[in-house]
Amino acid sequence: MIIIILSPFIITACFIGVIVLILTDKLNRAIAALAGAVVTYFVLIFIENFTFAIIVNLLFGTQDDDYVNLHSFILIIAMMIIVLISNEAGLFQFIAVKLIILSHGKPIRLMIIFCIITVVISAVLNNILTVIILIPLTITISRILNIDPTPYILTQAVLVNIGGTIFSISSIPNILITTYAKISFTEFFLNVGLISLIVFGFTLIFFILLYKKELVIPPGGAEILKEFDVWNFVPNKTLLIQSMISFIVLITLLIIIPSSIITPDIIAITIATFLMIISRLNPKEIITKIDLELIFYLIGIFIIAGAMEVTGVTDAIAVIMSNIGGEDILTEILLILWVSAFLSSSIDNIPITRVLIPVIDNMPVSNDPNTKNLTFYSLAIGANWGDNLTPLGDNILVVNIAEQHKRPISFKKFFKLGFITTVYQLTIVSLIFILIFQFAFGMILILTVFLSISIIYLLYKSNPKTIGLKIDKLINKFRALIIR
Amino acid sequence: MVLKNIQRIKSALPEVLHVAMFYNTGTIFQTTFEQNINIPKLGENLAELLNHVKKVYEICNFKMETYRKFIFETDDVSTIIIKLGEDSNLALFFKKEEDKDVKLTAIKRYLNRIEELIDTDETEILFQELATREKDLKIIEENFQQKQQKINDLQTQSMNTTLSESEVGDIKKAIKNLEDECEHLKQEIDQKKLENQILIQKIESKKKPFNSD
Repeated sequence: MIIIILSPFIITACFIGVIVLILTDKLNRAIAALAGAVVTYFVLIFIENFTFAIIVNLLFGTQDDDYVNLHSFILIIAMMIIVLISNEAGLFQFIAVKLIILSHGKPIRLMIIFCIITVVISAVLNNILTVIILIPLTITISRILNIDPTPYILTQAVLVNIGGTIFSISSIPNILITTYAKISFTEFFLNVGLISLIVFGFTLIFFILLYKKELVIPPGGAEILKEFDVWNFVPNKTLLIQSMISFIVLITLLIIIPSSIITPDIIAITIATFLMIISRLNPKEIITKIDLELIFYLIGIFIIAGAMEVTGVTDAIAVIMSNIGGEDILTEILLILWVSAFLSSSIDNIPITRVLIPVIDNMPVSNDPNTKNLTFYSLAIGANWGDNLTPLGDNILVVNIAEQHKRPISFKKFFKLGFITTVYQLTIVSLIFILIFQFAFGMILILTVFLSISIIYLLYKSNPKTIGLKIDKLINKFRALIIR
Repeated sequence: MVLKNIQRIKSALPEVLHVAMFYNTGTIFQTTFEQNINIPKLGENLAELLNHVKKVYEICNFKMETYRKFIFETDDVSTIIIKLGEDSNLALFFKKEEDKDVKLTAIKRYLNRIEELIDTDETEILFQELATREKDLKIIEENFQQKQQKINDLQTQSMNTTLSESEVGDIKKAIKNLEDECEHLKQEIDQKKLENQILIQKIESKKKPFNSD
């Protein structure tokens, strides 16, 4: 009896230990995950009496699950190579500055362009690389335009996560989810990508209303901005064109070829290999730049999370979540959305996603093939967007980069904007889910919000000197609360 | 225009082979180098060069708040990197000629203009923030004065002997509410004044350490 409880207990403790080590920054995340994997190995071999084959199965998947983990690894590595070469070609900076120049120094237009660039770039790059490219560039642009970059940096940091849910290849959690649940590229985009774009639109409106009084650009800067030579980001034009074409071909092939014929990872690795050959870059340089830390981290997490599955821990979590959510599908989906968001706010979203995938698969709600994928969509959104609820994780990097470039931003400002925006975004997604499952109730909720806004607007217009002034004061107080 | 300045520097000094304006991030704003040169790598290495020298200073325990210029001479080409703004620099590549010292005075007059154009100092932004805050403070102070005036008016009104007891009671209640609001506003004004004071001190401490010479 003790032995039956012992393994799940050790493995759960191991998982929590790895999370704590990463959270407290006591140990490098790859080393922490590998250490956890080593402990897991001993538990599985000496307590559970498995053979070494179990480790191979946990790492790469089995024939039954169609080697799901191996497909994830190949897709992640292939995307890394394509992104590395495109970055060498200066593709992302080139596109960004080209678009920024189109703003003609108009503050709101600049804010919109910065937000669009962030979402577009983070739709193909991981969040860390996106902020490493965009934040210094934003600060440089702000130096030319003679403006405070804080509103732009803060909004970019928040929107990076929205870009992460546009495509199935936009983030590691998406790759893990879509490979496991066999969700195609198009299917993911039509269900999660489009929701993300809708929420992006609402977020953009929110940001403009929030910052419109702060966004002032002194005259003259726009003219200087035009003098910024975008070709200075490009080492050679041929490489730029090659990487642009590669991205277009990749997206096109992912859309038109069903994964039952060629899986997305094979499409991506084919393009990555081809690009490496035609780019004439030194392959050794590219290979040494591949993020091995992430690969080792994933190896460790795959083994620990897989062991949690084998020893029945994920089944137990699934039972608990099902009991909380009851029989109602909508409640279960909303529960997955908010729980995954709050968990990934302080814990890295990769282990959270990896553990929650089998949990969701084991929940009764996933038995219905019509609603099964909705639970995975909910997980993808929650795990990606929850990051902004706290200024931890990737967001620390944003603050550090801003400080390195002598434009420090406070954690307090970041936390206030990130928390409020994320709650606002998750509420919109919840409303969309409510509309899908309970259309009438969802419509009542939307109409109530719309009606309240209309009444406030009419009151504002009917009596601008008294009620209007009070509403103005309230709005300004709310704005000041978030941005000051 | 900035580009014109770059060209002027080049034409004012025939011995200048090339000019590159770059930020500490390695981003090149403008350069006279042609596209056949790997410009991103050039910017990256120029920025790294400055970083390495900074590290050398740190190792040697030399005090270095900021640098003014960096000179590197070889048999054929001399390189001078001059600090422009808070985060921007100008690299000049000279043809090396015998018995000729590089005269920086000829390019000096362009430097301040370029600095203004491509690199806003942090203090500029702090100044802008201070202006916004002072505007906010002024609005609150005006609001405070209006309320004070209203209290005075109501107090005068309450002296009126023709008013009933309940009317006087209402006025006193309104005065009390206004006094509470004024108290709150007073605290807000004090807080904002303190914050502005801190900001002014911050601006003072960030004054430019040097001018290009």
